[in-house]
Amino acid sequence: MESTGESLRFDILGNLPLELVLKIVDYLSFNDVLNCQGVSLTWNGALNCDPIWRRYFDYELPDKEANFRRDFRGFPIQPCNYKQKVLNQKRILSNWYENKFERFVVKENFLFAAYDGTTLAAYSDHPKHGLLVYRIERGKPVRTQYLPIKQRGTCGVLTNTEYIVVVLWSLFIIYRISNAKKPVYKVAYILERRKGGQVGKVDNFRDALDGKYHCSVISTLDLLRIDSDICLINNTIFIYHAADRALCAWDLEKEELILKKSSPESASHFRHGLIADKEQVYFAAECISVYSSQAELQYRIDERLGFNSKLLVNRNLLVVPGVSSISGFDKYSGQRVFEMPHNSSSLLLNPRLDILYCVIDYTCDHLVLTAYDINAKQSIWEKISDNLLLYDTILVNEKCIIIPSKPELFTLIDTVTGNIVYSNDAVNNCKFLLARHDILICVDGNSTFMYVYS
Amino acid sequence: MPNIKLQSSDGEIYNVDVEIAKCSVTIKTMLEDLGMDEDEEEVVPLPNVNSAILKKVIQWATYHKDDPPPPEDDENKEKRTDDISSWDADFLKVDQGTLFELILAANYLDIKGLLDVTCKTVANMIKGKTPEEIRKTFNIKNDFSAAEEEQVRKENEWCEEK
Repeated sequence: MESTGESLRFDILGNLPLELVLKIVDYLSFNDVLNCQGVSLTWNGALNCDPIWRRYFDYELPDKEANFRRDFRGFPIQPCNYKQKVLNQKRILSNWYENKFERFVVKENFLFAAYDGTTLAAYSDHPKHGLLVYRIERGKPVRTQYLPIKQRGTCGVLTNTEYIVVVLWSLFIIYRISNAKKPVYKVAYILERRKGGQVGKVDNFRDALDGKYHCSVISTLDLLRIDSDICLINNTIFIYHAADRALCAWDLEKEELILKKSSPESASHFRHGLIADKEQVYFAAECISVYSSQAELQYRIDERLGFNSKLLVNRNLLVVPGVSSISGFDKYSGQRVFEMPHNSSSLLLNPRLDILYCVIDYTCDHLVLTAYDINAKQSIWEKISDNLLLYDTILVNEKCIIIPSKPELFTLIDTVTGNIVYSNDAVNNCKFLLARHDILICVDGNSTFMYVYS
Repeated sequence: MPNIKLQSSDGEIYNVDVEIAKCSVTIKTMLEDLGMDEDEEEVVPLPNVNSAILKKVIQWATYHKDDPPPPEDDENKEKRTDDISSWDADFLKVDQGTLFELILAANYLDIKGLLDVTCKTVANMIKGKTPEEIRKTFNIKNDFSAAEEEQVRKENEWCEEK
């Protein structure tokens, strides 16, 4: 705007209806929205609604937890649900960084666990087989349910605040929240894997729950790998059956198959993989296909994948480790953004910042970890460690890279500077780790250490 | 070329090429639903758009008549605002009241390209500014009390470092 006269100025945002305010806010960053809320009472109220803030939150909550109305009842107004969550997430991350957290030791031995930002669902086989459900409330895990599972062969758990899915050899037990106010999960139905890579509902799910279900179709060798064959997004579960080379998607709410797709026969031995963020599903086969949560094909990328390639995704990018180079794509349009040579054993991508971490394994006890700034096209730090083990269990969040190592349980490295933030207490032989911005879980022998950041 | 008559809220009538008028989804739908014949001398009333704004909208639509349809939106993506063409930037060098009316008109007439570029222009007037700078830009009075302002400032502590 060239002119400066007051008569030419007008409070545009303060006078537009919500749908148009949202259009403008679409172009603003998190900081901009916070600044806008400081402009006036009208702006403060106008921007206090969940559709604006949910874009900045890492998890997707069911719609009923989101409030789409604006609150103009003066000041101070209660920040909307998503704004509270976004601010809380930022506070927790900074506390984590400053080593402020509580530690809980749970006597159960979790074999698998999944966490969706509210509910922690963990499978334990001792003393009884079943699902332990916790809610993380104000930095404390509160056990809310024990759901026995008699059928053997559990290989993973998925959860997304509305559903918990327990993955067995050939069955999927679908638990659903039965009461929104008091979150109690109940078995909704059971899915079984069928010939040709499909799934369908089991007629008599009581038998299956009692462990009397025998599935002849799927061999026990044809196991689903929880980290690359199955993903849960909104109300849809995507399943890739490697043996049948078939991808299918099941709508948990409508209880119907919404995608069945077989890959053409080919001699490719590349390991296929399926990953999801909160909006899209990325499937690597002969080419990479990207689906919406409703299983509509968004776009395809023809890219030769490396052996054992695992796709990576953050808030902007889809990163594909190819045969000899790593390629990055805009995750919404599929347009190529960068390409770089590739010789690492393992790759990690910062979930928020466009930084790629390459792990190069020179010997069994000597690793080099390099951080590469994708936008600046240069490496920003390098760390050599003779104390890092199990590079495939390294995790990364916005601020820290979490490395299980000996003799410490884990080392936290700042994602931007590469400095070691701190190392935590000794626990040997960590079986698995699960980390989100507010929780870190590791299992050692017979106990589970739960670090809850608040 | 067939023309169509558009009538603004204050009674002005504009003769517009049908193809240009159809960049408004609202008008396009109206023509299809009503089955208006091209040779009929009917007038389409637009009670929500005054003549000054309608003139601007027609000017914009005439310049952009051969544009490809704008792409669908990705809801969660932070969008670019630095891709406004120089013609559009010049076209939108108007007072803020007019910009506001153009947004409302683009929304009412359902012209996605114009709505996008006007919203981007407003976003650019906000981006990277402090609350005080934003108030100055739009001539807004700070009506927070000291205590209220303190609460807002506390929330702002979570601004990400640049």
